[in-house]
Amino acid sequence: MARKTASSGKGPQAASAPSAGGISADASLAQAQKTAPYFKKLLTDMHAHLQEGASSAREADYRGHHVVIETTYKVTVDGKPFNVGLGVTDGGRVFYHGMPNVGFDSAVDLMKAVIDTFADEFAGGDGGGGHDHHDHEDSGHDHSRMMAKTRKTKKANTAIKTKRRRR
Amino acid sequence: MAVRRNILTDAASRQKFVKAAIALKAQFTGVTTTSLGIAGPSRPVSTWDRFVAWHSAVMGIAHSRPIFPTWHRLMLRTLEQLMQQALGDTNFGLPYWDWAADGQLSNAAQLTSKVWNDDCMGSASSAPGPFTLAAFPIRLASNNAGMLAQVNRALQRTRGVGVPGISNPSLPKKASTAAVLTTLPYDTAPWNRNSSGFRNRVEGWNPPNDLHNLVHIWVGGDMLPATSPNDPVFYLNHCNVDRIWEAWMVRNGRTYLPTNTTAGAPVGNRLNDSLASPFGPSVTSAQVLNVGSAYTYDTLTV
Repeated sequence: MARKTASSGKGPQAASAPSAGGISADASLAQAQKTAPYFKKLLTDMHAHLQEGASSAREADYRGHHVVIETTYKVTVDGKPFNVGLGVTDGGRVFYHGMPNVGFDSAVDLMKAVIDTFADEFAGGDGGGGHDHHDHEDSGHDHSRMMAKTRKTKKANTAIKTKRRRR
Repeated sequence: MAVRRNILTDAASRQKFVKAAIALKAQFTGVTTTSLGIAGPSRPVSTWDRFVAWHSAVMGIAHSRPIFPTWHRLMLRTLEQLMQQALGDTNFGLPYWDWAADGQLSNAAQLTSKVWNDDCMGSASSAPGPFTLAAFPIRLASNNAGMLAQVNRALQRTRGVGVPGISNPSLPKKASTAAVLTTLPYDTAPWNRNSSGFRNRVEGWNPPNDLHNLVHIWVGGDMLPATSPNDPVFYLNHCNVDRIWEAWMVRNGRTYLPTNTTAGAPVGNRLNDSLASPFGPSVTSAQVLNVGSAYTYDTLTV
């Protein structure tokens, strides 16, 4: 393996000479405060992005024709809107940022995984999932959406509407 | 200089990694949920949990994009140095989990690999091995909307179960790691999940649900949401991804795309764009292509 020394950091926040590899690590509060506004903005922007309804556009050129397929998912769980954008890859895999490492066969599978993974946020179904809600601290959760299910005995009912427009 | 070794075969790396993870979980330097912009009451955030928040904040920037390998190299090297400080051992190297070796086993045997021994990552579905609720509480987690929330619970895994549509998956195979080494170029337009090239393949989108992504799916539980660095397995997975990338660069050259002159390249993902760190100065992707003076791997056979 080559062992050439990496060059020093010179980004906009460079304040001291980084260690070998160009990367240094300082866990102090003072260092954290230097970048706190930037990371608060990152979180804010990400949260805003996640709340937006997402639309995917797949494009292909075939025999001299340009094809665009736009897909927008409108999802409800137990009648309540699931306002987190879903996207679709060119290969047809459905994904969303809440589980960023999975390409699902379908939006139905994705929503089943959402209910499994965030079971405590879909209390009242018959799947036995969900931990005691007392595990949560007062954390600013959107309980109006998380606790979308109000009737305790009814299985979570997921409705997914997909609009596809070709032009 | 740190040498990164196989966690299954190097007991010292295994023991030090577990010790350092628990130490950073208990290290508080004054950073609070309020200072990080996380809703709810203001509470101290440990050094370990700051990595959870950092990863969550850059989810849309550093994933399914060209900087996926370079940004995670920055993250891992930062953690490695903080672990060195906690251990008082400047030669400590993050261990890697060669998951493709375990992927050659039967699905049943994958569940009893030594990585899941209780002196390593542990086998329990809740509070596994050394990562008990008392020693390793999960304090920050994504909700279903991807928002960071404060919680207080044990680490969770669903090893080998998979998700709907991907039931009982196997870990990645050696055939996949062999194939990714010959995948060229580094990345291609449109620079996302639809790209061909090494980056999108090693991340696990092309073919879908393979390599890095498949490990997240296989481990499950806290490895599924954007707060996946809650699980120490996250770092074992990414250290192996970094090792595969290093092997790719040794074979194919230390190249990266897009450059800053590539037409249509996404800003923030070009060769000389900054990668910001809450733990130190920014670096660029160009600066982390060669970190041979900081650490090496015991082997690049993947």
